[in-house]
Amino acid sequence: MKSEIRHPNEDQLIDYADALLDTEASSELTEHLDTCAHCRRRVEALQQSLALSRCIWQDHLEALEDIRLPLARRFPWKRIRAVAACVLLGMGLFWASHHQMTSNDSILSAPNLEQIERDIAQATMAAKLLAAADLMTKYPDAQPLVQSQYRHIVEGYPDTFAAQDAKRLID
Amino acid sequence: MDTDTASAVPLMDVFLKELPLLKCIIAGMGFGRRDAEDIIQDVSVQVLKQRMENMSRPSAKAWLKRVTVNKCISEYRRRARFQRRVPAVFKRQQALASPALSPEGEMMQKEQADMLRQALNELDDSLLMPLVLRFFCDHNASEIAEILHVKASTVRSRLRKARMRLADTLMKGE
Repeated sequence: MKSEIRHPNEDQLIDYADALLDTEASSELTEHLDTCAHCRRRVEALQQSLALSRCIWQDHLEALEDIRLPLARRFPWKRIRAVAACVLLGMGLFWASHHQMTSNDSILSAPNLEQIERDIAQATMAAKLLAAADLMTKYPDAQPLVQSQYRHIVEGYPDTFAAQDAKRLID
Repeated sequence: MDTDTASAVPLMDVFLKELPLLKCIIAGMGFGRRDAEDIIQDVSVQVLKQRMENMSRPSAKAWLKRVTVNKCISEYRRRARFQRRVPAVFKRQQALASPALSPEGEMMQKEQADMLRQALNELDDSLLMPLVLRFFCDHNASEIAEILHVKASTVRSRLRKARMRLADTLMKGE
């Protein structure tokens, strides 16, 4: 009577394919593979599929290798800008209404909406540049860049709080 | 005492140091450059927001991997696709193989590369992620279990399932 062939289980085949079996178990399995084409093919397929997967992953990784850390692009500037806009707008309205109550002359000199919007834009941009420069201060190589960024804020946005801070931070 | 565990470290420093490994996770999941940039940016924003002054380096590393894995799975995976770059993959494969292949052998290997790319695309995240962490990022089952918040035995069974599925793909293609 023909005896039934006992095939190794999946774990054994995987461990064999990855060369993780001890010497005794490995030689037993090698003996089986010499006579069983199906298991032999499975071991080959396990090895090939892993080697191919690594090639595919490596290929993908190569395309990502030069990605640097782009903190500024996705930093929540929109939220910061919105909050700054609300605060400045509120301050502007308060200032305008206060002066309207105290002096009719000052209504004429009160900033209009366009001026407020311009101030908001200036303050936002300066704050954004300052925050980006602050993030770079951790890295010694970036110090010259940080200093030139501070100078740019002071010169380009002189009437903002960020410019005052930048002036203080310049060596 | 191991200096890694001795004191707390700034999370941003760990992030910058671990960036190559995080890229391996992202590449292993099949993301293109644009999505990869988004994931890295999202993780960096999480790093900036995180307040963990007393975090040791190993904890910080585990946290970073977990955040990256979660970003990959939850927000981006539906967009991930392994590119159909069979010639490039084949070239890489050839560089590893010692004997030169016959034209038929070359053709077969290119077909296999394409089948496997497809199989990786179709593999569920729960199987692909352990596979990437084990065989591309060189983590063991316990480390993967910690990153994915599952048992080590679950990781081992998922790895087995994933390996058999990929092997079966090649066997069916013959």
